Amino acid sequence: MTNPLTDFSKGLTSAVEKGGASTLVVDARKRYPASGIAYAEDLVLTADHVVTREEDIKVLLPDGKSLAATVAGRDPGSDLALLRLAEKVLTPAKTSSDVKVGQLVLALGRPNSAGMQASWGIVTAIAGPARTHRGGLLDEYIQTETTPYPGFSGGPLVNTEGEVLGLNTSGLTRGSSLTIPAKGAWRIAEALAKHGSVKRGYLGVRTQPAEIPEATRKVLKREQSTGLLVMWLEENGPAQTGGLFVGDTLVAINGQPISDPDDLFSALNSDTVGKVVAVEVLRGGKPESVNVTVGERK
Amino acid sequence: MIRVLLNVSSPALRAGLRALLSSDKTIKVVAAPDLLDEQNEVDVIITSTSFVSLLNHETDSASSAGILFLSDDQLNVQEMKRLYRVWGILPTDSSAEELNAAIHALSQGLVVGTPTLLFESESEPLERGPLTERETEVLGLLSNGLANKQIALSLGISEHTVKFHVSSIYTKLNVTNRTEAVRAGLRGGWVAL
Repeated sequence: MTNPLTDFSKGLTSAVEKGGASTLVVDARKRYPASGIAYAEDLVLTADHVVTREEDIKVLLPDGKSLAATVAGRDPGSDLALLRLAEKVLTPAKTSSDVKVGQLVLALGRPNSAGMQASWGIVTAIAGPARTHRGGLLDEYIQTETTPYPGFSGGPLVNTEGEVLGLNTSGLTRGSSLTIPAKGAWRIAEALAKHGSVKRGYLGVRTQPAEIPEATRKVLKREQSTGLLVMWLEENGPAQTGGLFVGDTLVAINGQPISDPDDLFSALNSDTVGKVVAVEVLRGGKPESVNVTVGERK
Repeated sequence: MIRVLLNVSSPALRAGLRALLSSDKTIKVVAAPDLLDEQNEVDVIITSTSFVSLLNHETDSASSAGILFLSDDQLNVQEMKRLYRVWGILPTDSSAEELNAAIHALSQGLVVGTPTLLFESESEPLERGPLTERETEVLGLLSNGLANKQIALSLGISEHTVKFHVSSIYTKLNVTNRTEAVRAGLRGGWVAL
């Protein structure tokens, strides 16, 4: 008869082995190297805060081989950086976006050439959006019971199949660690690979939250109690060009409710740059929809 | 007939002001969309918006409307002179008589103010004054999650100067960290999105 505990344990070591094949050492700061994930055959995704120098960056592969890397792009707001190798030698990580609270997960790190390190626990929360201590906005994050050992930043959070659920970083919170979900992290990595940075949408408005009266909510067929009152429009900016006025109250963009400045921040993600979005506003107590071509925030 | 626009976000305040102003038959409260109609120029705009946020707002010199702030915050006279031709300030507990008097004065191009709400910047510091243009830029970059070093690089200034700006933003917005600063900046309408 097989011992279920042994099988369980073998399951964990197998997950580390699978995830470990795409977990690398990233040596881009003084003294303590950190970890990275193979995003493509020649691209490594890591935490931005562990890349403190842009020259003499080394990536150590699971087989111990050391390769020089360059910075392909950085997004300090989400604490992600993408490094490029001269050769296509990596095994890109397999990702999964199937994350649930209570799920058994492992945080993996390869902080030095000595080999893999791992820690395990369950997913305690999936939350967001939230402002990080750096000031940026994180759309979603995963909290786990895993222990963030030194050098784990940039490494993957994996499920029991060894599939990457996200990238661990201690750079966005003080004294703890969180995981940036793979879906969002990979989307940012894609932008970094293409443009070197993450574009952010821009309307050219300054707003303040304003209450939407009960009766108006009914007219709007929306339940949100606040919208964003436009107080300033950039001269010839996207919003003004699109036909917004000072005094309009923004209530939704592309059908997504906007009740708080962070909602607007979030709605103006990189995908919207250069595209037309439907901005729903309250004008003189009546709902109107205005098409605005989103600009790029500098 | 004096045409008055109510630029207040709270419906209760708007209703209250309408009621207070209804006693004077020479004052007419107009709805916001009239602003768009050039035929219907507004004479006086009443706003309850924090003046600090309006200070960053480029005023339209072509507009002849006087602006009346309903606020218990102190106004900097120099700053107001710089930004508006015709302006006034009344405390939020002003009576109908005071409001009507102020509107009539503003419509005649006079400046109106309650002495306790006005000060000259030489004599008293502006406690939570508006951010400077540079500070607004720094706050915008903070909202993107940039570290001081990256902000310095992006603006072509030294890291030390960035630190100075950040600390000044903290003081002006009465916050103690970056997250709060960004939140206050966005909620106060200081950061353009």
